[in-house]
Amino acid sequence: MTAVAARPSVTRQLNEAEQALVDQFAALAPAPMRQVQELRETSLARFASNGLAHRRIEAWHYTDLRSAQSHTFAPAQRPNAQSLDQIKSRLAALASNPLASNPLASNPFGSLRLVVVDGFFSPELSAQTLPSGVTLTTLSQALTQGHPRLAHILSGSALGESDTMLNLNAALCADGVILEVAAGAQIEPALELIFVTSDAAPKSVQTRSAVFVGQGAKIRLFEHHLSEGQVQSQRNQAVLLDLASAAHVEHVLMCAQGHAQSNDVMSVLANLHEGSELSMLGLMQGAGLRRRQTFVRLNGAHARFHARGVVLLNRKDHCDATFVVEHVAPDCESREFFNWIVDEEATGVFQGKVSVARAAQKTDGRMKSRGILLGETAAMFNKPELEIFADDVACGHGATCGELDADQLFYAQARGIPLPEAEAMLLAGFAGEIFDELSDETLREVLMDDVRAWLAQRGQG
Amino acid sequence: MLEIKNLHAEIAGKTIIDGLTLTVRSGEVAAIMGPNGSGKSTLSYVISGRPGYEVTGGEVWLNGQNLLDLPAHERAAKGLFLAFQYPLEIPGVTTMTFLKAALNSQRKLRGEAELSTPDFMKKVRAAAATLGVKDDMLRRALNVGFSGGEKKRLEILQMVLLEPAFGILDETDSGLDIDALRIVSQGVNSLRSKERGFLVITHYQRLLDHIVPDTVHVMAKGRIVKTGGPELAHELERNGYRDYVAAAE
Repeated sequence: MTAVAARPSVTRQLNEAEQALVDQFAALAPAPMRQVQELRETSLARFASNGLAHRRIEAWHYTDLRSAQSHTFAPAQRPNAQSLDQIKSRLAALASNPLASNPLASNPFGSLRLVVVDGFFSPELSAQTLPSGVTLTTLSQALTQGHPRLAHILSGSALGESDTMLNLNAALCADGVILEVAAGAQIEPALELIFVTSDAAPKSVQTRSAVFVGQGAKIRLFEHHLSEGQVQSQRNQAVLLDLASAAHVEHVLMCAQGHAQSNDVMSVLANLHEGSELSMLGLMQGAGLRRRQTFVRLNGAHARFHARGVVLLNRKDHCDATFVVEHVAPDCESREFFNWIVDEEATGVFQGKVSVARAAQKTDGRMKSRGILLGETAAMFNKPELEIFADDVACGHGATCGELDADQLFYAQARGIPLPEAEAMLLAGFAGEIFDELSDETLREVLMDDVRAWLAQRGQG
Repeated sequence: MLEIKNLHAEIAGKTIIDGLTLTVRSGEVAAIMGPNGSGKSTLSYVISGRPGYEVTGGEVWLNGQNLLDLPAHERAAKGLFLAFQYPLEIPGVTTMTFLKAALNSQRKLRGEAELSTPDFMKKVRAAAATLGVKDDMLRRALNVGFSGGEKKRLEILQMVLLEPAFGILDETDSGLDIDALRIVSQGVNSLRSKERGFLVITHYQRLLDHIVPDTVHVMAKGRIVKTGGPELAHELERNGYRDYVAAAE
């Protein structure tokens, strides 16, 4: 009898960029706690079996990161004093710019800023005191000294487990901000996470942050990603949001245009317990390749998740907004409404997958993506998906895509408004619809100022 | 004075306006009546400069200015106003914002100072009051969710505000109930003056009971086939367009 040796299962050969990421892991100091180290090793092994996200992974079909990243930059280092000074002056420059509607400049909200530079929390640039009821730890502290929630943070509430970029992030994340908001705390000033990269060499950045909002607590959370300037980067960052029952989070994302050759993956992992409410509002521009992927689980009855966003794209930028929403409890509500303005040779991707488990009766889910393409070479891909196992639900989705309406343009022109102004007015109106329901006038104006600034720059180009 | 001389225009190679000549003096209200497909709406679009229409011959002059040389927004600044048959909805742009942009853009094109917000508000509120346009409508997105009557009232409000030298009303009576028709007509009549001319395009004589024209023109097959006084509208109401269409063949 001849034994036939079983062929080992074929694992994909990693390409150079992927191997460099695996090597980055080998160079990290192992986490002191065995459980944590094992978690990171498992995550790395999962990443290694898939490699960088690519178009043959269905969820990444329209956003081929592997093709865009043929080389991996060295991991970012903790910024030195010189880098921090540069960042400080950049913030100051923003403040002295009369056009800057950027809240960083005037900070009309009196928010408490927590600044992450090149993936590392910077105490020097951040608020020195936080309101009572809010506790701050950094991920690097947690990794070296332990943290009761560390395993939870690294496993990402079991959201997006199969996502190769999240696995990579769990293996390599070096720092980030961990905020814990005590039960019942009503935090008045907004907590503002600012992500900024220094002008030091091109770098790869992996951060993981987490915000735990206690029962019945209420916060406003701003997340800002500043423009990178001249130096490209490869960023893979995650934010975990955990809302205890009846917690209430108003989240605002502002994401400036990234470098034309940068790759930027932002993941949000949101876990919503009974009666909690997460409302997200976003204004995003593109980058060489940018993906904002939001994984949401509505875990307790009567939870609500609302996301509204405006995406403004030009150059050859690529921007992907992907939602994976799991309804597992009854009587929950989810909304994803996005308006896109895609100019020049840019590409927009909207994917929304809403799944409704058998137990999630009375789910109310709606998704809508509307795009206006301004250039003949601009492109938009919409992929809404519903997966429903309950029988008493109201779920719907819609996606439209087209040019500016010629009749509307003529109507404005017939009233004396020149074509470029008419276009800008219609586009501002289209974007503004997303912000219509905002009760905070200041915030609405800040967002609309940014939209108008983008439109004005378009008019000059 | 609006002078249209031997105008020819086509859409996608199909002739719609076929040698139309018409003069409307300042202070005159001229009505154009005609059956469906006679080219009435096309005429209003060609005069106001809507893209997609090719003028293959002729001229259109407003107070000594050749309109056909100008883009649509400059025609408006020269004093031309078109009240649309189907006013467009502009989501996300409040009525107030749109009106201010239109007024100030025209003023800028004419080299006049832009109106300050308080002056503008005063002007809008005064015009709105006469037309029964509520504040709430001014704060809502332009024409979005407005009834047919509200949209038409808003067209007239825009005309009152922009004070054009010449107004074209394209089937302003369509979709109006009797009360709205009266309000709209009063708005138009309030603008009648010896400096301002109007071209009123309509299917029915009903509107002309409220806005009494000085002249009535019958349009068929892309040109004017008959001109008369207000009594011509009554004759058309009784006998229809059939004889005129047949004669134009």
